[in-house]
Amino acid sequence: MTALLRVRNLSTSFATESGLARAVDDVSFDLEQGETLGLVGESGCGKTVTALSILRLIAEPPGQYGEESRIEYEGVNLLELSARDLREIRGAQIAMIFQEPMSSLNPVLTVGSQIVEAIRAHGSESRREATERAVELLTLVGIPEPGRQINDYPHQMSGGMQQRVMIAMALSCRPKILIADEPTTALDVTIQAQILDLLMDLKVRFGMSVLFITHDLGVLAGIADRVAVMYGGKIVEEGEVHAIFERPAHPYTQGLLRAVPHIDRPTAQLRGIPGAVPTATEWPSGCRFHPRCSQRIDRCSTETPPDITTETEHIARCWVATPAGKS
Amino acid sequence: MTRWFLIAGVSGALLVAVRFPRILELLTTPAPGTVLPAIGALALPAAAFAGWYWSRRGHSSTQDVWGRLIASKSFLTGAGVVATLGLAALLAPVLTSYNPNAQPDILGAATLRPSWAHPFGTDFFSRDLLSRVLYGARWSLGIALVAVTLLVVVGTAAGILAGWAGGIVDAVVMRIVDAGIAIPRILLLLVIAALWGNLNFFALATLLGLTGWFGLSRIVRAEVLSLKQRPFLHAARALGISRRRMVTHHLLPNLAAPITVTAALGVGNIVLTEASLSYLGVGAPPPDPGWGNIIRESTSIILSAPWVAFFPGVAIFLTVVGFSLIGDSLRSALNPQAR
Amino acid sequence: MTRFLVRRILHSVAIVFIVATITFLLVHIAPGDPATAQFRDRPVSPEIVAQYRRDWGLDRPLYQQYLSYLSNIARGNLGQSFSLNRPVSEVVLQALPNTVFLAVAALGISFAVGIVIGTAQGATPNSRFDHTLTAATLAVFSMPIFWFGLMMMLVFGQWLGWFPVSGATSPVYSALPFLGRVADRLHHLVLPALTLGLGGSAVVARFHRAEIAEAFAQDFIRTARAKGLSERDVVLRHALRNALLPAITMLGLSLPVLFSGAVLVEHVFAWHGMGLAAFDAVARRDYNVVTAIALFGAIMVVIGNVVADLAYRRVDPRTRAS
Repeated sequence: MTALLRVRNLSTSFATESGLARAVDDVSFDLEQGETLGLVGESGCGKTVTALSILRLIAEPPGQYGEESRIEYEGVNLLELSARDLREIRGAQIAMIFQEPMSSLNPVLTVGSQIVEAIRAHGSESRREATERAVELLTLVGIPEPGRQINDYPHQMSGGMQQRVMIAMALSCRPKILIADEPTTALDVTIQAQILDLLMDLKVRFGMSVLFITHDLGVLAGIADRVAVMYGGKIVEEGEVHAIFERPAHPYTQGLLRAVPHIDRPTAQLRGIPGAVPTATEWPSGCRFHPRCSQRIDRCSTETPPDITTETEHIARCWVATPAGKS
Repeated sequence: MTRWFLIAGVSGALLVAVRFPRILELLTTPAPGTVLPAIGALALPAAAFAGWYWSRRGHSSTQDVWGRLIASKSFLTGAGVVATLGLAALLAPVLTSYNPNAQPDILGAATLRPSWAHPFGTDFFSRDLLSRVLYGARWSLGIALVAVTLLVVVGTAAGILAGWAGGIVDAVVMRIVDAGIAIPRILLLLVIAALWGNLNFFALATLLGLTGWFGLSRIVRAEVLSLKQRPFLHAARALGISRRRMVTHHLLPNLAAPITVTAALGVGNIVLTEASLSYLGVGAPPPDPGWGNIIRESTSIILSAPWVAFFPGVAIFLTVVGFSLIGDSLRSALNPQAR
Repeated sequence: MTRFLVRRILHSVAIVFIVATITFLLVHIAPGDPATAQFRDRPVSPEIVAQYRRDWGLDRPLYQQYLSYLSNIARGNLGQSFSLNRPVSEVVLQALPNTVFLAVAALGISFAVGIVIGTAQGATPNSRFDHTLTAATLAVFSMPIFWFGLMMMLVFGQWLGWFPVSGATSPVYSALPFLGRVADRLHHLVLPALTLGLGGSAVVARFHRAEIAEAFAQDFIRTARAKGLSERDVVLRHALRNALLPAITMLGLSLPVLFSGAVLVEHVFAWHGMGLAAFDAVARRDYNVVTAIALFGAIMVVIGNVVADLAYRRVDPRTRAS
């Protein structure tokens, strides 16, 4: 069975003053029906650009997609769609929520009108029907007194409530895929858990696939089916969630895991990865992680590592990873 | 680019060398006192920028600013237009052999169409319009220099005073600024003109400068307030650095950017305002050829000789375009994030 | 809201008070006193000048004059026009409707044209279209407005003969039927209003382009696109709506420049409003009329700013009292 969303050789680059920034470079992955795929990495590694590229929300120019790039939704390449056809996909088939609910909602429109607008962009509902549906959606995402709150402006709500509104808006046309770009990062820790629970509950109810983007590997443990780790605009490791957490093959993934606080481990063992993500205009040669890698060997700095299959459905791009059956 | 600057420089130097005695003689006639300010009008924004550049010569960002300016088409266009106008003002006696105020033949040579002898034609009093427009550049640019200098000094001082002192001083200064902005400027200038009668060059320039600083003082005050919040001033204060040194070494370099932009845009604004006053008959005293004056004198003959109104208007237009291009490109070069 | 209003009104009264003080000071630091200024061009006997000083209280101490000047203004008494021998308020009020008529028309044109151009530019930043319009608005912005008016007059009034070039009405105005009068007034309004309005539209367009571009950089624009809205809805419902809020403030701030421009345009087109009245008064050294008009202009600007601020708070949900 082919995947619901197939991303193949996606490259997204930006023309900048200091040269071409290759923010996403030759990224491929699948998102299956009903699955949650976690996309994880530090800031600047290309995960948000990947998410925005799927719905072509990158401004062109300065952004541009590589010629080989394909984003297939139900077999149709979104990168080749006309603007009109693309709009039929956006919001209706694939919806998206963002990191900052405050700035992602228009401050001068009521939350209700912003949801109604999303409903009416894709259906033939009258304004009244759409408003009724908006109230239902607000109830669904757990907003108290939805009939009253529908007339509120975003600034009258807390961050958690705003993100619930964003979720209601995203679900308004029953999309098959929800892309969640760091949906809980800007929220208080207690609110984070509520939003995550809500998302997972709605995912089952709506039968959606979710692409969940985060810099926090820990968040994915409870919600993701599979995890893809990005570094330097590339996916460096990909596999089942348990495999990634228990048998990380790439030194970068291992580093990220060591940075996750864990209840069983004393905090003294918490360690960050030394150094910072290089800029997208000047990726290092060979493996892009080699300047920060504690396990690097000579060829890391000169040759791009191949895909190494370490076990079933578990791939790492690293010269020191051990292929399956060789250990 | 460098080649063209070289060619222009060498030919300019040659021209000056060949005609030096005559230039010296003619620089001061027939509108004495207006040529030096005209040079300065061009030098001022350049000097302000140079001052800023010098105060930060070590910083790599300074190199970036210069690089962005040189790469900016609008800066080069603006600088070219302004340099041409400035040279035209300076070299007016060389470029034309007519006295701008001479009325050679008021019956036979009045309102002549543009021709080889009179490229811009002649006006109602048979005066050569090209020479009037060229000498008019001395008047208009000269006024602009004096006024902009004054505007920058007063506006900066008031802004620093209000921002630094705070409290009641701030409140009083800023209410005066609010009042100054609320009175429509032309009406304010008309009041003064009505009370004082005829104004000479420096009186007019002073007036334009003293009624033009309100906007700048707001910008400077805002800048001072934001600088006061920044850690480096606390650090300087903690180190026991004197107040004067803090102003000259920390504050002024940071203010240079907004001041330079305001000065460049201010020249265009003053040229427009001065021309408006002269058009209303309370600016440049006739017969000296301010651009606004020439247009005022052309209105009675605008149907029979529209060129008399046309050319000085184009001169004002080019001046304002030139300085606006310089000001806008300075602004975007100095803060690249803003669009 | 009430507190804001009270503070804003006190603030405005303070500004008007300072403007009145400035005009008082200007009158009194000018060479000679108002009496000598008044009789500068007319040889009269010293007795007449002395009588004049007594009549107008000019022989009293300066602070008394200042206080009576302020109290007169507060009561709406702007003094007497020397040259017209009528109360100044009468002169001003007679000229007011024409100026308001012209200013409102010009303001409408400058904001309508400016916002359309600015929106079109901001929605396609750095395109060839954007650059062309930037050059066009810079050109209009750089023309002296009186010269622009003269050129309009020459081309559309004289050469093409489409519009009248002088006055607010034709000589036969009073003989016209009602609709004819309306048409006549509008016909006369076209050139002055276009001159003043297009001049202002260049400033509005430059300002509004930046506001639209800023709105476009906001996250909620991305949300709107992600919802599948058409580009038209993204621009009109989301970007423009947000960028219109600062335009309200701009409306208040543009009033001083508008009135300055109106003085010049009224002069060019012989449009009998406050600007022309002020100009005529200068020619007759009737300084009472000029100062009154300047003061009146400032008061209109201050009121305009308060109205714009209130409108802004009314329209922006973030500042609207909930």
